[in-house]
Amino acid sequence: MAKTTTADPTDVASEATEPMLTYVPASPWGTRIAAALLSVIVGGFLISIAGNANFGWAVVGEYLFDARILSGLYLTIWLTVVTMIIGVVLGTIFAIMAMSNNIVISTVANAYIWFFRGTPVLVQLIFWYNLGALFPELFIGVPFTPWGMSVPTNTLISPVTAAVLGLGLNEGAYMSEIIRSGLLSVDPGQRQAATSLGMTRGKALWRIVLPQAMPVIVPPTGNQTIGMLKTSSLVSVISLSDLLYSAQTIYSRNFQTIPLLIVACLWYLLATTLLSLLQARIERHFARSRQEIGAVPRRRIFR
Amino acid sequence: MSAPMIVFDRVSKNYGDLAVLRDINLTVAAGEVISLIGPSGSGKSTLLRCVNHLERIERGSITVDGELIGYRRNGNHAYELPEKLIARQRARIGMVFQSFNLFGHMTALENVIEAPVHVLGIPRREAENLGAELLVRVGLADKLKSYPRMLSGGQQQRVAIARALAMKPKVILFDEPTSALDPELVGEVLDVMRSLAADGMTMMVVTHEMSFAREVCHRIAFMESGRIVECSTPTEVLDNPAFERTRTFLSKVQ
Repeated sequence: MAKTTTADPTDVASEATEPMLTYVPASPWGTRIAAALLSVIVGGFLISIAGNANFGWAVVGEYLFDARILSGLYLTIWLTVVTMIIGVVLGTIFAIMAMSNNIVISTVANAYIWFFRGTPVLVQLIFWYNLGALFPELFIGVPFTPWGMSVPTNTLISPVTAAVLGLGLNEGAYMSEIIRSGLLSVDPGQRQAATSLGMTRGKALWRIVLPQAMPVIVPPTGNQTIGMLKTSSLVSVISLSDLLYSAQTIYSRNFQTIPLLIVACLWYLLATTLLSLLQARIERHFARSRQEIGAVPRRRIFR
Repeated sequence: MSAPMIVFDRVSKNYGDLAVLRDINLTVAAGEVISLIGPSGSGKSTLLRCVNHLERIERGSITVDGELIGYRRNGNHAYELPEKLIARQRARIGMVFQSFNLFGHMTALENVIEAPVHVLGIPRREAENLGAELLVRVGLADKLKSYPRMLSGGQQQRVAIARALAMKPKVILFDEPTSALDPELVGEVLDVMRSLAADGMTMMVVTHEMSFAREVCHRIAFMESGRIVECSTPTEVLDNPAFERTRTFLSKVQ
């Protein structure tokens, strides 16, 4: 077939002068229309809120930097940081215990997780706050011996201690599951390689396994931290003035309920935003061995 | 050949009812390269992993350079050593895995210097110089700062060998070092192993690479169902096997 046709010079020339194609990407008109509609709806919504006098924006401005609100904010942040530290430390310990080969150790860890995840944190807070009613005196010293001393429970367990204990122990149970899943995500070969290089189990965990578990551990931990920021508002039941409770105290006097709740929400939003930024930084740090994660595609409105 | 480096004396091990090692007697001389061949499930890898006490043996004993592995002998009893002392023994027994097991969060150089710095306590600067030297030696001079996932399988395995070498091991155990590699990458890893053999490193190699076994190893041990069926020079085992089972196995792999 190919042999029978002789090359026609004019044909070749016409092929050569054919212009190069300019490719035009398909226009996502549907997406653009949807985006435009969405902008109108969201814009209208925002205007209806910002321009609405019933929201009491003047009152919001008045109380935004109120000393009581700021000290409430301080307590909320302090509680979040302290309980999360306790949660992470307890979580790590219980995660390792839960993975132990010894049945007593793993059962104790699992029972702890079972109990503290299975009961409402509100109840746990009240329980710690009322510990004095159950154990009027706490004995600090060597068990089953007279060495040590007794302390009245109520001097030891202040509302702040009760809050830290309640939230921290509860958080530890959740964190231990997060950390356990992180540890399980690391290939067992890593531990073997570390062991065969002469590392002890502790060193292998600290230097090899935990760092590689971090990409799995960090995102849910960020979630937990943001959750804790708001869960900590439960401490109002044991009469601690956190951010929300401070706002409530003020509006119970001046009846500016909505503006004061907005004040509290603005601070919660700011704290959450800062925490999210921090989380993103931490994630980037632990993702440095995974180059493809650094390449986030750029998003545009129009192209 | 010179003094015995690894001695297996009547070694047995069970997984439940299954005997995975039965009465293994084998002496590997210093500087000897011995390969373990045999069908899967014959106990080759288990035997290797017993040498650095990644697996416990139930009977018999294993010594490396005269030192009983994993236990302290007292009369007729052997007491398992505390973790720290076992770790110290393992530090001088290199191991290279089928799946490389490089530390994913560390660069090639960091992988190599990790144990020298954090196990042996060598100053970081010194370890880095040694590590760079070793990576040059395995042909990865330009990959010092690369993370494992940017390296090919062959390159990863060569980093793993450099990592084992960095501990100045008395012996290196290779557990199917080329089985996870694409065929065209096998050669570069075998070349590195060949040069180690030439330098007099004592090596135990579980492998399916018969040509490597023939060319580089001093002896080949054929294993089946937890026993060493025969152990002799490559020409004896590969060309003139004494046992029918060896012959059957070789006819399948060659």
